[in-house]
This record gives sequence, structure tokens and C-alpha cells, in this order.
Amino acid sequence: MIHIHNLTKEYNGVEVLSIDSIEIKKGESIGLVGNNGAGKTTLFSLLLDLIQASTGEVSINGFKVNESEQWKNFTGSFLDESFLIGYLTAEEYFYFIGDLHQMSKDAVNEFLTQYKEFFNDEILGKRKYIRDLSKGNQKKVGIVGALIGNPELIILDEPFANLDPSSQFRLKEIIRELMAAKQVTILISSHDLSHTVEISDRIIALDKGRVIKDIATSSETLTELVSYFSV
Amino acid sequence: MFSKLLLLEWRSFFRSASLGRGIAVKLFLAFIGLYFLLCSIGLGIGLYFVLDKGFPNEEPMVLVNNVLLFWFIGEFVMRFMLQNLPVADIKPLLVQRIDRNKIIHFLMFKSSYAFLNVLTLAVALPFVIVNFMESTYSMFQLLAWLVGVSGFVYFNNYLNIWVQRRFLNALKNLIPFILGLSVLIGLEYFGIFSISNLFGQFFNAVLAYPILGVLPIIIAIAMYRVVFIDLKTNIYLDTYLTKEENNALTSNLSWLDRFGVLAPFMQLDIKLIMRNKRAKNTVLLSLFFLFYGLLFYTNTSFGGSGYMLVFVGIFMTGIFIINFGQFIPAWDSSYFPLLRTQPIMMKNYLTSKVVLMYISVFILTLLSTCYAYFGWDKVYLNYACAVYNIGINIPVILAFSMYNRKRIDLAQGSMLNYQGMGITQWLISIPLLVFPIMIWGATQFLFSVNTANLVLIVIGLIGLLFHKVIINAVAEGYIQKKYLILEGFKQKA
Repeated sequence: MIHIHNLTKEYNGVEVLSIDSIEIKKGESIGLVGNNGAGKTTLFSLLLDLIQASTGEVSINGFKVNESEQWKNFTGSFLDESFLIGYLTAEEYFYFIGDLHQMSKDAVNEFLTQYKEFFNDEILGKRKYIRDLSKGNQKKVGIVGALIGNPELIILDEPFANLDPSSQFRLKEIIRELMAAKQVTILISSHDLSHTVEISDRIIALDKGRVIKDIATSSETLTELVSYFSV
Repeated sequence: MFSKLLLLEWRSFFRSASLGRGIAVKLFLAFIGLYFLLCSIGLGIGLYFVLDKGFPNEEPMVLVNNVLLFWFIGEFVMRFMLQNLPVADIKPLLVQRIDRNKIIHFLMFKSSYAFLNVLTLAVALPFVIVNFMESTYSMFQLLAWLVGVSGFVYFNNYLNIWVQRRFLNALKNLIPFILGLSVLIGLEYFGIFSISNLFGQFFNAVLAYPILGVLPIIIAIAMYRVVFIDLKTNIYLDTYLTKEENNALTSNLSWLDRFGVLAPFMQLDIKLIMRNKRAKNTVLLSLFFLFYGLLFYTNTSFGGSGYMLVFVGIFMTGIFIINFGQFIPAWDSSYFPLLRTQPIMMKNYLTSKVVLMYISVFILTLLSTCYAYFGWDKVYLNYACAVYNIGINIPVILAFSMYNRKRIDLAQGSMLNYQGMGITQWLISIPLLVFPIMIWGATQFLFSVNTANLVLIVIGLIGLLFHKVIINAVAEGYIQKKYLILEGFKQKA
């Protein structure tokens, strides 16, 4: 599904990311962990062609992300608030993204019903613009927006941050369902080791821009990670 | 403590991200400021002599006093539009170990050094000096007068802060005041009662009894007190520091669905315009500039020169292109990463903007047809200009848009926040205006007005034929420069 080869990113001569090779197979669910500045967001931005790689290449389903636009048809992503349109209501935002994926309003409404619990009656039908929602609710809008259009690949940066405890549980449920029901590849970054371990079957740990662990999740993974990151 | 706060201010200015990038604009603004300052000083020096010559039977000082009220009202309106108190900046200071009073004093102290405070004094000071040399008033009298004027300047300064805080979110509460003011102006105009003369009487009295000059200072201090107490009781997160929050408008724009693949973008653009102050002002400004024609058509001294009429025609029918087109794709800067990761054809994105500009030209041209009152020749010329705008100016501004990499903060609505950008706007609009004027002027000189109009139309139509090609080329340019655009839009000013 994803093929990363020899990927590096430099800012003013300082290397912030350097990855020899990562292969991600279809249906895998990857948890990306690391401290601040480890390069998680940089890696995601490179995957989504939002910044230019200094060397190397990324391809999704065989399409090089910086040359082809094809990958956009089956990739859903939410990195930060720059993926939200502040002056739309949540519904209008979902319809807009639906439009881009040739989904009718009715289809979008149908799709949204499954996230009723996750939204907790605070998002839909509220006559509120996204810019006036709380940080947590904005995040929910962004995450659900990334799921529109039956993506084969979902990329979420820090989806658990700013969410209240109940919403974190519901989000984990949603991700587990996605993992179980369809052949979806999921990439999630997080500071929270336990969340990440719970919902991924492979963990990639980054430190100072380098891959320091790339392991399949097992019962010992959490202890292993905790001992690595504890100081 | 005050000096530490000043240091913060200094750093915020020199470390702002926009300082380096916007240095040319800042310089330009500084020149404009200097220009106005020099004009004011010139006015101050010349005023005495002009009045002395124009009204030899009256004392220039008395004449000035009689219109002083209108000067102050004008100054206040200017302040209301241009000057605002950046209350939100002090938010991080509130929880620090700084006296609350001190923070508010500092905030208001800063406002005392606003450019507009200097402007009136830049007129008044030279005027006083000339008076001292030419008239019979003593230095003491004139000094008292100057003190009185500065008192009102600062009264205005603080009154503006108070009015803005109180009324900015409820502008309709201002209507009674505006009505009251209109009544007074009406009374003045019809010579029934002159409030302005009454105000002038006061300043005459100041000259007679210089001690009265202290009165405006007392009023200014009182106003300072009022603002101070108002700020002190209201600087809380849920009052003055709160963010404006609006109920979402529901808009049914499904009638745009007929535009097919363009529809989602056009609906987005219309919502952008309706729901963001900054974009909304662009449209309001466009409608406002329709009245530009009145200025030129009624003024016979311009009437003869066709060049000016081309300028007006291009401007009136194309003002939306200039103001909106300028900032493509920066209007979408805050969510550009979304647009880059969704399956979007840049070509469709751009075409939707172009169609929006077509529609704007159509509507503005339709409205400008009212100028048939001043002769159909004006209307024909405006139509020709409209076709030229569509055919040539739209692709030109689109081509420029590839180099737009400055983020626009849609939430910034107040006028002052984009004054600087307004000036660069006018600069770039020069080629859009100069070429058609040259083309029209040359043909009209060699042949006739009708031929000149026809030439503009033909050029416009030829341009229109190439729109598809140009849009594709610009779309290609966007993709080539995608990283630069994304990088630029990430920088918050």
C-alpha cells in the first residue's frame, strides 16, 4: 500500500527526518509514536505531499505522491485545523467533502448516522460554524471528514488529543470497526502509548527523525515502549 | 514595570513574522503617513493666509473656530474606521504578577501615541505659529487655544475606544446617535441653529479667557477615567476578551448545482463572501465604487476627457475582479492543505473563481447601466470596458495569483487590519487600468470614440477565446509551485 524509500527531509541543512525504508501492507494498522520533534507530523506531511522531500520518494498504491494525484481519490486524512473550513457548519463541511468524492447529500447523511454517538449531539444541527466549535469538537469533525468517501488509506495525526475520555473510547471503537470490517490501511500518530498499542497491529517509533522500533503489536509491546520512553 | 511592557511592545513589532516580508509595504505606508503629515503642516501654515484673503472682513481664527466641531467629527469618524484598541493582546499579561490597573493604563497610554493624534496637532501648531506672527493674539492666548484643541483630540481618542468597545458588536445601537447628528447637521445646513458656531463660541471664549483652555483637558481626563473604569470592569474572558460568535446562517445554494463540477467551489466561495467580514467588505466596497461614476459624470471638468471615463468604466465594472481576484488563492489559505489532499482538479477550482468574476462583472455592468441618465455614450463605454475586463483583466489577475503566497486571516475583520494590503492592491491594479486607457486613448485619437469602444470589445473577445488555455496554464503553475504556496500560507503574520 505505502512504499517509503530513502526518504529524508532537511530544513536549513538540519536533517529532521531520515527513513531508509518502510513498507506498509494493505489492511495494516500502524501506530506512529515518538516524542515532540520526532518527525511524526513531518512524515505525514511528506506522505500527503504537503512538503517537499529532500531526497527519496513515497508512493501510495504505486502512485508517487509528488507526481500523481491519483492517491487523493482513496486517501482520507486529518492532520490539523488547516484541514477544516472554519466558516462552514459541520454538515456543510461534510457535504463539501462528499461532493469532492461524488457523494450526494443523502449519501453523506446516511454515512453520518453511524457517528451519531461520537458527535454526542454537539456537532450536527447546531447552527454553529466550525470556527466556533471547541477544539475537541473541531477534531471530531476533522476525523469524520477524513473517513468520507470510503478511503482505503486513513491518516490521522494525534486524533486522541483534545478529546474527552468518552470520545476517546468511541474513537477507538470506530477505528477497530474500520480495521475489522474493511480492508482499510490506517496510520495514526499519538503521544499516548496505550491508546496506540490498543488500536494498531504494528508500532513504528520515531526518535529525532529516525525509526528506532518497528514491531508487530504483542502483549509485551506496551511495556517495551514504556521502558523505552521513560527517563 | 512600564518599561518592561514597552520592551514587550518593541519585540512584538520587530519580531513579527510580517516585518521582513512586508517591509516594502511598511515603507510605503510610512511615506503615505509622512505625506499626510506634510500636507497637514502645509495646511496649518497656509490656512491663515487663505482665510485672510478669502474673507478679509473676518478674523481667520474665528472662522476656524466655527468649523472646528466638524473637523473633530470628521476626525472621530476616521478614528472609528482606522483606529482600534488591541485589547486581546493583553490576555497573556492578565494572569501575571502585574497590577491590573497598570496593564490598562499601559494599553491606553499606547493609544495616546496613535498617528491620528498627531495629525490634528500638525495642522494646529503651524496655524498657531502663523497667528502669533500675523495676528494680534498674544502667545498666552494662542497657547491656551492649542491646549484646548489638544484636549479635544485626546477626548476623541478615548471616546473612540469607548464607542468601539460599547457598540462595535451592536452597531444598530448607534443609529439614534447618527440620527441626532443628522438632525444637527440639517439644522446647521438650513441655518436654523448652528451647533458648530456654539462650539466655536467656546473657543472664542478660550481666546478671551485663556484659563478656559483647561476645560477640554479636564473633559479628556474624565473620558480617560470612563474608559479606564469600563475596561477595568470588563476585561474578562467572557466580556471584552470574548471572541465574536455568530449563529450560522443557513443558505440554500443548491441553485448553483447546475454548474456541475464547479458547483461545490462556487458554493464555497459564496459562503466565504457571506460569512467572513473581510470578504464581505470586498463586495460592499465594489458596490460602493459604483457611485464613483457620479463623481466623474457630474463634474464637467473631467467630462471632456475620455481617458478618465475609461478609467471609471474599467474600475466600476472590474472592481470586484481587482479586489477579489487579487487574493486568489489566498482566500482559501487557511484550509489550503485540505484542498491539496482532496481529489480536486485545480482547473475546476480556478474556473469556478473565474465564473464568479464573470458574474460580478455582469452584475456591476447591469447596475452601472443606470448611468444612461448621463448619456448612453457612457453606457456603451462601460460595456466595452466590461468586455475588456472579462477578456483580459481576469486572466491577467489569474496569472498574478500564482505569486500570491501570503496568508489571509479571514477572521480579521476590522478595517485597520488590512489597510496595508489595500494599498498594495491599488498598486497592482495600475497595469489593469493603464493598458485599456492607453489602447482606448490611442484609437480614439486616431479614429473615433466608437472605434475605440469597438477595439476594447474585440480585444476582450479575443482574450475570452484563450481563457481555457490560460486557466490550464495557471493550474499547471499552481501544481508546480504547490510547496511554495503551502509554505507561504502556513506563515501566520
